[in-house]
Amino acid sequence: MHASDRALVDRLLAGDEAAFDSFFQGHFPGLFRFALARVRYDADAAEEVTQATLCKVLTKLHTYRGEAALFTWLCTFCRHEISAFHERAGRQPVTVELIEETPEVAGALESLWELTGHRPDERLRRGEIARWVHVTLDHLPARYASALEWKYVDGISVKEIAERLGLSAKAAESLLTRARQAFRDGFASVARQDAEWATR
Amino acid sequence: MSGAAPDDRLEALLRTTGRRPAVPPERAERVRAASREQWDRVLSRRARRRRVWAAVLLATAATVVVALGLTVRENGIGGTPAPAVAGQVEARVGPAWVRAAASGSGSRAVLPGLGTELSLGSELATEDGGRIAIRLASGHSLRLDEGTRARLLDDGAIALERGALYVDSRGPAGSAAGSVEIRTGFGRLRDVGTQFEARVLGSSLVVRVREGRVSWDRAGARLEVRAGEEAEAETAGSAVLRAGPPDGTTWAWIGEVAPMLDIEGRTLGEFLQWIARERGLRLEFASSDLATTAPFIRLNGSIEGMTLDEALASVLVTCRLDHRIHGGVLEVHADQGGSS
Repeated sequence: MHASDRALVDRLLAGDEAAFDSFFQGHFPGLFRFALARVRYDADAAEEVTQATLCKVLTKLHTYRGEAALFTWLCTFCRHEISAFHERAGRQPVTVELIEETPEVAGALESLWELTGHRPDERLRRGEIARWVHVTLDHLPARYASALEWKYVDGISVKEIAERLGLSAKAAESLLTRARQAFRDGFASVARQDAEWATR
Repeated sequence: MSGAAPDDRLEALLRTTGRRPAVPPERAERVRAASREQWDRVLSRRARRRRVWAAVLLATAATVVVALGLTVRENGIGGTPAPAVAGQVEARVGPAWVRAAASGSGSRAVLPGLGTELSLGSELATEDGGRIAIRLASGHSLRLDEGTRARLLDDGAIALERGALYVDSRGPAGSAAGSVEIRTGFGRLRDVGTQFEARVLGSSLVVRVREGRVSWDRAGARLEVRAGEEAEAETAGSAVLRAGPPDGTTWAWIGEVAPMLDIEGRTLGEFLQWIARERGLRLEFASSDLATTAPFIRLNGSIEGMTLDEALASVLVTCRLDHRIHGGVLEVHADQGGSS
């Protein structure tokens, strides 16, 4: 049960302005990137699909039960909108699979670690891995993703992260621990999923 | 490399890939506006469903009150808006934007929600299909038709640049607010206890008055436009004055963005007076019994999210009444087999 997502939806249905801001800011960027990668990186198409998705989702909010993460639920709608978009454009519909949350850590990270070299034929692969990382972050709770980016990309101290999140330093450390574990689980799942797609 | 600690690997991975690419702000803003619009519609539909139900429940109660001949004291109308700001959004339909007064680095236009407070200096702009109603701190009801641009000036006046606005000087409690000034490229308008519309039509301004009168100062001359009249003038030259019925279809847009009356605890008489005024109609009862009873029928529930016609029908049916509109009159009568 995704209680915090369910609470957010309840607040949306009650007309809470702050909830709308939180919903949009927390999910739109990830949803846009989700769509972008599936419409051949056509930004106009991604915008169209994302807008259609959010408008559809907002009419269906009352059906959300919190059984899946809200972002995963949004991706379900987005997948349908992407298919509809391809059909309208006369393209072969693209099947979009959702990312399952299956924890498999070591293999994916290990293979990634091997790809830190600089051979030209690895550059494309590294770009794909970057996308996996971003997809994984988009699927994490927003606080987890932000905390990881702040700490490991921006180099911000735990103390400052704690201040940004309104937590004690100890609680921020704890959150980072959970965020790292969630990232490892998610990343492994994404990597495996893409590997399966590559072999089809 | 493979012997590195897991956290080191994680750090290297995230650092190497960098931040997630941001969505261009203009795309985000467009999608946000569309989503916000949809959210408002969803909330409105949900509220309407709840309200209809409440009104049905209420109908029984209202009928019982009439049947027993109970006398119920009338309530005053509604709360007053917070006076600390220039105004507050009471209703919005479609794309109607507000840009707060610039402070240093400026500000961006937003689609305001109900209850959004507007500061002095705020700009208002409506696009096709967009309308907005604002309760000014002075008590006036201000409504902007589609394709309008206006500004809430620091001295309390309203600048109309293009499009049309409607002013009702009745406060939310039905009391008359003070005078408000509308500044246009065609002169200044000042109301005297009135309902009026000012519309910029290309090279001319048209002022139509439903109730009371409007004083129009232009090029050193003053023109009085009275209820049932319509005046049109360009920046130079004389104005044309003609008849302007207060209930014609040209006023219909006002009802589409009318803030709904909070009927909870109000009497049927108050509701009918309000809706007749919103429609520019004169209220009449088919019988003296009805006229006597209406002030003592107390309403409950809500009409929020309904159109004026839907609200009228919903409330009357709960009271087992019906109506017809003819010749500028809203006539209320008992429905077939109903009691009044």
